[in-house]
Amino acid sequence: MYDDRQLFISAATTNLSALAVIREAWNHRHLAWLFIMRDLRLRYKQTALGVIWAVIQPLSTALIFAVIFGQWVGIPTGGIPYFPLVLTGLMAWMFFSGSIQHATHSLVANATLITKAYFPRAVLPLASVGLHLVDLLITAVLLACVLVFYGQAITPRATTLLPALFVLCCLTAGLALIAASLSVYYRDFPNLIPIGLQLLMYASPVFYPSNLIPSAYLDWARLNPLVGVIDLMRWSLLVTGDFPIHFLYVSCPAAVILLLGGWWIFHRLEPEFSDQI
Amino acid sequence: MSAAISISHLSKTYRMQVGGADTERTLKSALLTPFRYLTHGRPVAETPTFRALDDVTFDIQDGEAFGLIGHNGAGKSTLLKILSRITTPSSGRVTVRGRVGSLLEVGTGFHPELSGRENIHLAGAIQGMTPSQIRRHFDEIVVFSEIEDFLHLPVKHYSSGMYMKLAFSVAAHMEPDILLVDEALAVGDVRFQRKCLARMHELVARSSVVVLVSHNHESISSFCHRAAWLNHGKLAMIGDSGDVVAHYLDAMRSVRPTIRWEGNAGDDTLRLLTTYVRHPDDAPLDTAGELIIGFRAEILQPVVNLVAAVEIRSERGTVLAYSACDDALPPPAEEVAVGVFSREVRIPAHTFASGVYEVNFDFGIHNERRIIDGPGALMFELKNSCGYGRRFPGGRSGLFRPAWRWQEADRP
Repeated sequence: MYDDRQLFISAATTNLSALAVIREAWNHRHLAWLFIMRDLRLRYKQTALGVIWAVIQPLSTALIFAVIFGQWVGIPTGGIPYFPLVLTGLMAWMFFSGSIQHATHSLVANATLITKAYFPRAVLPLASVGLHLVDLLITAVLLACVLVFYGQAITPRATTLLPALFVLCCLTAGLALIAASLSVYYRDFPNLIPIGLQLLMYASPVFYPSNLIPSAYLDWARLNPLVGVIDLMRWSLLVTGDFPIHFLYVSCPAAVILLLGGWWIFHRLEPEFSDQI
Repeated sequence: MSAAISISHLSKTYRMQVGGADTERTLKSALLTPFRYLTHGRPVAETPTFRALDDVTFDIQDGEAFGLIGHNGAGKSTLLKILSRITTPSSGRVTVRGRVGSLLEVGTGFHPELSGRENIHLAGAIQGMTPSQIRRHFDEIVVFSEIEDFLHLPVKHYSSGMYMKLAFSVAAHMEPDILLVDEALAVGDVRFQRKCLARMHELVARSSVVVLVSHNHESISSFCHRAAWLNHGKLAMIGDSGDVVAHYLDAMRSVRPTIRWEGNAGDDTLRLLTTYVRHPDDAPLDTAGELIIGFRAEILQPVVNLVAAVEIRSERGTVLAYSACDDALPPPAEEVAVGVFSREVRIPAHTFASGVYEVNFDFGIHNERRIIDGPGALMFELKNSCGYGRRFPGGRSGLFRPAWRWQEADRP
């Protein structure tokens, strides 16, 4: 009748190894999927346009940027059409900032679940990332249409989009875990997030190409792992010079560190969530 | 027989929040002592603590229906939360053999905007069912819940009876080795309650373990083989459920009635501050006088669908009456504004017979969550000093002794 596994519950920890914890979270991927579906349904329920909003949002933002920075300011793009350039940046940025903002509130907003049922809590912030990954994929379809419209050839280079997205997901997930767990303990934290994100948006090449950054600041600017990711995404889709090597020595290690660090912090704080929330 | 759950020297300490506001969770203190939570695991703040469980040791065997009784705040719910891994103990340890499913609150994981169908999937997964288990039991759950025709509707349109039925049905099909249930037997109508009980008997018969927390001592002594009585976090007694209930009731009788409670309980929506039961002239409570039951709370943020109700139970835990403060008003419920929220209800004289009664306060947001469950509970004793029924005092032990009008039969 029983499976032979025994579970020991004692102060601050269980007998589960780090691997078992990850396996347990993996076994709950179905739950993450249901949270994503729940939030998608709730988001578009009773709206007339439904999922079309997922297209309108990046499209309208990109159009505004294209008018202001592309037309009026005339940001030099080295011959690349500005609209696909900004849409590529926005695809990464909206995924990143949307995930972080949603994850920040993911635990507190589900406080009743956390105090009444057990499941690996990491499912909640990770589902936030998953939810925005759906948006990202919709934006990617939009971007493909835009590229075709601009007559941009899709070269074999486009395959490097996958590692760029993978690294983006990892670093977003790591930060989402940190933001979610710290928000349970420090109620000021969620207020800090929008400010931090706003600063980060200007520090990242979202609406400008990264070759616009003055060379004096370039090394510092590239410490931001998003720079490498967005540069690689543009390199893969729009032809822009050399391979962005800083993706390899900044973005990749940053993603590993943030993911492991985020997991560690989350795992460390998780046992007290239900008492603190 | 072997122990399915083995509890050894288990303690749980909660820190009390001082002054209501969570002063220590601000960023200021975080900056002063950065990473305090990370480095110490738990903060070393000098805040007063509260021992919810204090060195509790006992075993629960395979195939056993086990009851937990005790007054409000005795540690029953904390124990269930530890067993289901929702919270961690402060010291001691538990060994659990088997998969644990818990039903600590009816409707855990339900979202009001989603349909019944969507909620079965979501709540099932939150309570630990795998996708294949949910698919396999989906039809059974629907049939058991008796709400086939409403499956496509958002559950916010369900009556609370339908809502509870669906919620219990999901939990009852989890197939856990160990099922933890907190006061969930009072689901739906009597017929449905019997069905729930039968289902729980079925689970026990399949050598699963059921741990039941209830204020209804009748259901503990009839359903459970053994029971434990927790008193202020300590194990007061363990043994045959009938014996434990009998001893518990004896002890309760000697407890002084509490007719006024003052404190500060709740969440960031509502704080319950005072509850009381009194005579209109503050005279001793008597069957001949009106009873006034009331509360004073503070609303911290505007809230709709606020449920504020009292429940009166007999000494043996049977629910005699339930009354919400807006029972007389038509739907929809209006928003309750920020500020003091106090209500009282008058119960006519000659309603209850003399005896001891419990009053519980129920605050929550309809179909969403409970805010108060336990704090503010009162206990009062009604004397019969007026002489009503004086010829043969006592009579048979009815719980009500209404002043009904008797007259000579005019139609023999």
